[in-house]
Amino acid sequence: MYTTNPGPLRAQQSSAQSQIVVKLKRTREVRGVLRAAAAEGRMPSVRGALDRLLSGRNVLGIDPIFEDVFERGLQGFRRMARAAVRETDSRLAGLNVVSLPSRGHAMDACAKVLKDPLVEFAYVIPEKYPLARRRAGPDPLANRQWGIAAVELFAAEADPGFPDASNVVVAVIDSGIDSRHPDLKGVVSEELNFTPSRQLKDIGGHGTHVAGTIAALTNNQRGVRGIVSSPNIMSLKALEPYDGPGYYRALRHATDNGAHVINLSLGGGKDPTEEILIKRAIRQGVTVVAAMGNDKLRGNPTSYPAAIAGVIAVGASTETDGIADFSQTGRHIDVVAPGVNILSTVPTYPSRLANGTGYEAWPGTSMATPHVAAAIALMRAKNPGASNAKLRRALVRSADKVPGQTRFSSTFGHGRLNIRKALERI
Amino acid sequence: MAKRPVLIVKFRNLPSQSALTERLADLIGGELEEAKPLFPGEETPDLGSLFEVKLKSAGRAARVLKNLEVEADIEYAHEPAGRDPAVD
Repeated sequence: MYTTNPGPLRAQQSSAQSQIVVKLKRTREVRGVLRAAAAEGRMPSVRGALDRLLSGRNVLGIDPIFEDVFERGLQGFRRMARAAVRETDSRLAGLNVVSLPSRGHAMDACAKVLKDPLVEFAYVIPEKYPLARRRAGPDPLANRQWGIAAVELFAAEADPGFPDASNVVVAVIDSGIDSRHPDLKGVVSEELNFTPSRQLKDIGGHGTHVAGTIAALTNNQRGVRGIVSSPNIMSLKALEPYDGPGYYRALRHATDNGAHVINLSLGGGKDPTEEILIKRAIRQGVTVVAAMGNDKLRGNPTSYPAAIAGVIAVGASTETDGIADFSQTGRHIDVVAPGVNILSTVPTYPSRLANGTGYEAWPGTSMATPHVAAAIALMRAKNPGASNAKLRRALVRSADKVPGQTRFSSTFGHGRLNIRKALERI
Repeated sequence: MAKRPVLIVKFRNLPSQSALTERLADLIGGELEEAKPLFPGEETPDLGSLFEVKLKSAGRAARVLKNLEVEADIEYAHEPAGRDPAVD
């Protein structure tokens, strides 16, 4: 005779937790009950015996578990009764489920029947849980975002004192952002258009991808997640179509209107007016992060604004900590960050670079740059008084040297971004 | 990147934006469609002396630039460099 451990109570009890399974011994008394049932044309079961045992216990129902065991291949109640008593078909015969109003009633009834010498065993049915991990996690596609794992974001988040960057404003000067994207709702605090186009929407798709890496909502049961979990994004549209004066005005707007970090996932030739505005931003304490560019295989030209002194220049690394073949090199590079197969948000409507599915994986130093911009946002949140020089020093000194790297190189800079170590250093 | 009929001109000093707007009209003459401060109302020399110049014809940009560069009160003049998203 035994009972099972009913296990801990869960907040929401299932019906199984108010049911008990009872199996009676093959005694003469039980056989008599079963035969009597068969003789009367009823399904032979131990119900009668249980009725007697559990009288006054608020029993809601007594049901044989395997009625089909009796029926299978048998003809007539007499043979069914014989089978049930002899258990020729299986030892499952005679098992009954007793339903009671609550778990407490079930526990009481179980204790009662276990004392009866007719009972072979009885137990409150334990809860069973699926053992597969849920596919729909807090951010279901986050397991495909290799980049945020590579820069040790999860480890950083587990550390005590992981900063809340909600007071840090990151300006994304780009093609605009689909601010109605379900993974970006509420993320964009300011949205302006500096292009000649009348459309504020991200008709290119690029800015939405960049923004997702920085700031896609976390733990919202949807899509991807960003590096900054409490984001504050200033979306300044200056690409698609690009317009020089508009771009300059966007740079000035970011500097003069509270941006702490400017993400520039763009590049091109040298531009003296851009240089004036970016140096002005840096002088005023704004951290400017820019892409090294993707033309390594097309002559590896020097790309601006990445090459402007004081700008944090970011190359693209691969999942194996190699360099993306397109990632431009140069002495001005600071670090590399994940920039191949980077899954992030794209507009929910068709755009020039995306088809409206909401999420795509892209390559580019454009994709590496927001990893670093977001890291800087976290660093600034942790140490709001840190100067650009201190931020840069902490960033480069905390970078992980890639395999085979021992010192600064014009390919990898100081190494691959490591957010956890960067936060430790700042 | 296609040439645009827009130039950026930076003066060495900022007497006033209106004075510099007139100066550009004198320098460029009939080629000029519009000259305006890049940051209207800006009083710092760094940004207030920057002007956006629209020409009537893109084909004249090189010649206008060449003429502007030799002027002593002009720090530089250039066409905006293109900027492309760095997605591969």
